[in-house]
Amino acid sequence: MAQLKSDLLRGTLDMLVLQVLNDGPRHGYAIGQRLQELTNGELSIEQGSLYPALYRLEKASLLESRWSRNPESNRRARVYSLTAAGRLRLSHDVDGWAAFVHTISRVVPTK
Amino acid sequence: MIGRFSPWTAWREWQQRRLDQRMAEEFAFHQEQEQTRLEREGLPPRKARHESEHRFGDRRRIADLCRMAMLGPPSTTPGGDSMTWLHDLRHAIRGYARQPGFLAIVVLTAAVGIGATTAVFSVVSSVLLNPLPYPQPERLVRLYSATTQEPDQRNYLPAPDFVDFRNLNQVFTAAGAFYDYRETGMDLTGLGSPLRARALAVSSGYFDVLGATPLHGRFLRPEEEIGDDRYGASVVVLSHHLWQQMTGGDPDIIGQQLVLDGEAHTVVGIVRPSFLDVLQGEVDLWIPLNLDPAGRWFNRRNFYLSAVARLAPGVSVVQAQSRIDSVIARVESETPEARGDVTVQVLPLFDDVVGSSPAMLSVLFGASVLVLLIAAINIGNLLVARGLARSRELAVRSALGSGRRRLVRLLLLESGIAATLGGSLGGAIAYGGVKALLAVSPDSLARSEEVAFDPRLLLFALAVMGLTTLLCGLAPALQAARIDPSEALRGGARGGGANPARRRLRTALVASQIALAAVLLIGTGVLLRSFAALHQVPLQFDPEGVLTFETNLPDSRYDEGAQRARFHRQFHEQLQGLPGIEATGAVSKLPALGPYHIWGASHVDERGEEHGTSSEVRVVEGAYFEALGIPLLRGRLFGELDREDHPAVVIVNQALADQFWAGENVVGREINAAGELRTIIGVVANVPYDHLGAVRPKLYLAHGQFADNRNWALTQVVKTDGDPLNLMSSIRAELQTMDAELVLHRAAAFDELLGRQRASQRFVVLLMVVFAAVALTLAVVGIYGVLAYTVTQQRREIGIRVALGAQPRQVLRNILLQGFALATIGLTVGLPAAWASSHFLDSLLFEVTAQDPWVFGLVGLALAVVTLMAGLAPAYQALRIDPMVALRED
Repeated sequence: MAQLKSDLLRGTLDMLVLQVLNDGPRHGYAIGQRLQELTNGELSIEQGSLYPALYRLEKASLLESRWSRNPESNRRARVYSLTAAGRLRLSHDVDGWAAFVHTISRVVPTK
Repeated sequence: MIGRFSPWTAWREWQQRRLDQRMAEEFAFHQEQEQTRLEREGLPPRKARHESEHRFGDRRRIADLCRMAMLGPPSTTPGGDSMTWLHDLRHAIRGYARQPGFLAIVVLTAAVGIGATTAVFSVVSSVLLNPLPYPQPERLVRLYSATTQEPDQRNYLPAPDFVDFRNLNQVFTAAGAFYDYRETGMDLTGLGSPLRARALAVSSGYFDVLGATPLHGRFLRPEEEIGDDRYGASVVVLSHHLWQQMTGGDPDIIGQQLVLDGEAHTVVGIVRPSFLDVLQGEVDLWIPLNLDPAGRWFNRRNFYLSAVARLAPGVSVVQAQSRIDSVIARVESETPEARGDVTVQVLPLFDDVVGSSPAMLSVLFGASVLVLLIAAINIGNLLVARGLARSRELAVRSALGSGRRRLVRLLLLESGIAATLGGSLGGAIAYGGVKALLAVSPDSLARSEEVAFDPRLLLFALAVMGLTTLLCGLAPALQAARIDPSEALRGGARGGGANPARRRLRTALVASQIALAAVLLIGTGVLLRSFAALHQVPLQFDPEGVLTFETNLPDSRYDEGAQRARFHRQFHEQLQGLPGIEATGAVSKLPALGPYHIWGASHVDERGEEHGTSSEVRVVEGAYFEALGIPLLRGRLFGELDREDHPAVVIVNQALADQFWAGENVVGREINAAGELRTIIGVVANVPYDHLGAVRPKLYLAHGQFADNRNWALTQVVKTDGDPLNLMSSIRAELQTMDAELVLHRAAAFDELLGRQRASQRFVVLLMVVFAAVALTLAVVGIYGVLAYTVTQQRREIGIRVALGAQPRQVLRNILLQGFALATIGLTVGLPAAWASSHFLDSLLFEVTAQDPWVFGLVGLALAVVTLMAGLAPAYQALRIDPMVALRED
């Protein structure tokens, strides 16, 4: 069951990342933490596998990133934020997802 | 050895290094954060670190995925075929090294073509295409009064109209009025030696319209548009150069007082050095206009303001015009008697400033395109020739298994080398050329700080050249790749290049070059003739040895007309006493420098009918006619007695006399002019009012009788018997003895003033001459190149003929005939083409037609001679061919 859930989630990881960043800019670790939080820790993917998704979204200009000083650490953190294109994509994806869930829920009864 | 270096690989490697660095830092941060969190949950540090590494996952795999996401899949052929590229490049360079002369000619031709075109066009484009050095210049418009009968008139605006329009906030973001009806000079005193400054009275919005901001202080305010007379409050904005000159750049001058025409003014602002007033040229200081609705200048019948406005975003000229029309309609309905048939026209500032230059522009543009074409054809020619000569080499390479792609690449590389070298040299020439052109450009174009070498134009020229080089360089390659190698090799053994189709192509190229050169040379010739004719305009007066200058009599001390008239008479008397001065006078506007006051004049004939005309009006004082040598044809000139309390008199020119009373005696007749019935006392010769020699009816009034009309800003005219400028200091000293506060300014030798008027014409002619010279040189190089090549190609043939006993003269004649044939074909096309395109020149010409037969004949002859000359060297070379050597070649 957990495996199935993570497969489903992986396909929609892009949308989840965009959704998390919709609340404001975050660095990679914070994005991962927030995803865990929102899914009650049920999202069990390798933490690092977040990064290829972030890089892909950045390459597609849906995200932008820049270095920022982190007060708690002596390292710089790379902070990601949504671009206008990213915002637009998110709203499309959310609409699509809602339509999908609606259609499926008419066929498959929810518990 | 550079090895497998390629810019693409280097770029990729650099990107990858950057990305790897980023990932290392980012992943480390992530892990550290997780470790800290785990430690906080109670895990011992070592365990926390281990756990965080585990949770992060396989770093190398993740990094690979990230690289894929960012940079795409890794290149399968690292470095590409850089080896073969390098190999071909070396081959291309070696090929040129064997024929350095060929490369030199191609590069020089490209450089001259690109350089000359870019340089000339940079100057023309910055001066004529971008004449407005202001932000968003397309939104700037001028507002003019016009009449319903003549809607294109550009007349001054009355102040109430201006105030109405500037309140149209939805139409204009800002509007400014300025007073340039007459040039305003002001005497600046109280700071060392008195200075004469050019002042411009402007409304508060003037600088906003032009998008200027002050360097120090502020600009003028609406509440300062109130004053006693024409001007507003006693505040002044200084130009950067005046500020520098007076104070050496001291910002503390803000708030201090200056004395202008005897009145104290407070300095409120300094403009930036970059601010250019294209509407008025060099202005030293700006003072506020009086726009007080209660003032005596404020009425709808007083046309005296110039206005400029900035359209609001999204508002078009047409929309602005319709809004203004509706304002006018409203005013008319409220006060019908106030307006009459006066309308207002909105005109883009660009059109207004550039005015008549489009014709000049298109001529210069056409000329530069022609030069570029000639250069391109020249290069094409050379490359085709070389390609033909190399068809054997290419065939061999093709036979040895060089693919078509490889061949094309080799030729592309060769073309690229030539284009790059030519382009760089051309850029350098253009850069130097811009400087050189500025050095010789007339004052009217002297906005040198704006003229810059325009890289876009260089790109355009490079693109044309590059395209030519590619096309002409590729043609032989494609041909070679199509030809059956064995056939080409066999053909080559029999002395290639004799292919009639190819020869026709080259003939066509050279002939078109001659044709283009003919068009350009004829255009230049016609312009030169026109320029010469301009210099022979009969002026009907003698500017030689005449000194002109102005001195302004401030209203504060010379309030009455009689005072001013007395001043001039006394001044002239004093000057007469100086050695070297023959005659002195003064006039409201010098002749041949443009129109000035155009007023109506009329007379009533025997049958009681009134006849009117418009006429240039000049107010003269002293021995003006004598000083300029304007001949008196009948009657007398003004004398001592033509004063206020004597009968009103007038002197007319021949044109006015002819218009009213052709062939009759006009002295003693009466004419209604300048508000009074005046008796004509004399007729003088026609004197042109502009530098092209145009003549209009003109009438002269005696300053002594007309001084009360206004404070006439008279220009003094002093005829000397030597160099007029030598007398400057003694004249200045005389002026000081009369009134130490007065300033002598704008002193100039009259013939220099006239010369300046012609300077912009001279500039166009100069540019055309440069173009023509380049075109001719390129044409000669082209013709020479073709003939020289033909001779080389025919070495065997010539050798055989000489061996069979042909006379040198026959050989020589043969070659020269080929050159002559080229010239004939070229001129057969070029002369009619020049004829057809010559109407572009018409508007620039003076007293010659664009189809001047002399010019056509001369250019035709010159090109024919040049072609023959270009053929001589190859012909001579042909004669020296040793038959035995030529036959053994190949």
